[in-house]
Amino acid sequence: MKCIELVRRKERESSVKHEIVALGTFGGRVDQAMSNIHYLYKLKNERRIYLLSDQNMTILLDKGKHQIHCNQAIEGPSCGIIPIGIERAIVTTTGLEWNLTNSSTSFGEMISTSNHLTNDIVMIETDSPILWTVELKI
Amino acid sequence: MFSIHFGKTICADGGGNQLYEAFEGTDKQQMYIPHYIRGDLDSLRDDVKDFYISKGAEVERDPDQNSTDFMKCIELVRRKERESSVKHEIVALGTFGGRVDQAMSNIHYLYKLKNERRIYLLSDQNMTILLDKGKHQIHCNQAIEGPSCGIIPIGIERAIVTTTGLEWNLTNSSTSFGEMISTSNHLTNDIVMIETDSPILWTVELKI
Repeated sequence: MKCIELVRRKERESSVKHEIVALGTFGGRVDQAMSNIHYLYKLKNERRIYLLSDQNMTILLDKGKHQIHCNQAIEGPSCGIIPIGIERAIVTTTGLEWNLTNSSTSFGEMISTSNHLTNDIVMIETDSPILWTVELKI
Repeated sequence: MFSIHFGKTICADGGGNQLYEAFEGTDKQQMYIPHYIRGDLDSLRDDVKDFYISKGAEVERDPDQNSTDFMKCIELVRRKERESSVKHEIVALGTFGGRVDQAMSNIHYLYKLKNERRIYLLSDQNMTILLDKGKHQIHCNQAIEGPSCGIIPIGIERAIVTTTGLEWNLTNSSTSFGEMISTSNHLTNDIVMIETDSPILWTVELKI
């Protein structure tokens, strides 16, 4: 959050709004990874934050309909949709190998993991904030 | 090297490759032969499969695409339990540190199977388990666990949590993503008490 505060200060000085790409966000301590995800939710109304590791890119998708432009040269094929911060999310997708259609996703019942990109454009509609995570080939 | 003694070891498909590569070229390779390898076997290398079969491992292919390799291993455990009337706990290795969606899938299984058995999710830096609604007393070994730890409300909007034995204890605290979750907390006691109104994850750093 101290780094977020720095970004906010720089934005006030320059009137330029920044997106944030955070590196090294997974692959070590689980509690720290969860803390990084927590910040996606805490700051979701302020800005988009991309959580990167050497194997993944993870972002929050708020309630609503989203069109994601993937670059299959470096993203995928594996991807997932994760309902965090809520009991369940009702999700519809296109552009994936196993698309969801008004599907109820929740931990313990069903979450979409090890899904595959089949299209450069993925549409995700959700009734609640969820994580979109995609494998990176870098 | 930290030694764990298990009853049986099962590799989930490509987990066999990881086990093989971890000890490749060392004299320890012979010590770590899995009892079983199970899954759709679309990832397991042929040379790894042949090696482990030659050393006595049972390799079983299940092509069902409606079940993950992890669940196929759970099915194997269930089958062995029916044959022997012995109930097993499960320690899953290599569960974090790679793909985020696979890590989340492993957490999903903690919730899916919570009424059936305890599953410990291990990586080289963490141990993570599910704590169901209720009061729990956790006996930590601070020689290998901690100090960092966390309490994570997954599968729910919020959990009301009370703890003792941590540096920053919670007292009927509302924990939820976006508001407050307890991470980078520290063990201060070998005994940690956690009371929660909802299923949560307990995660602790491992020093191995």
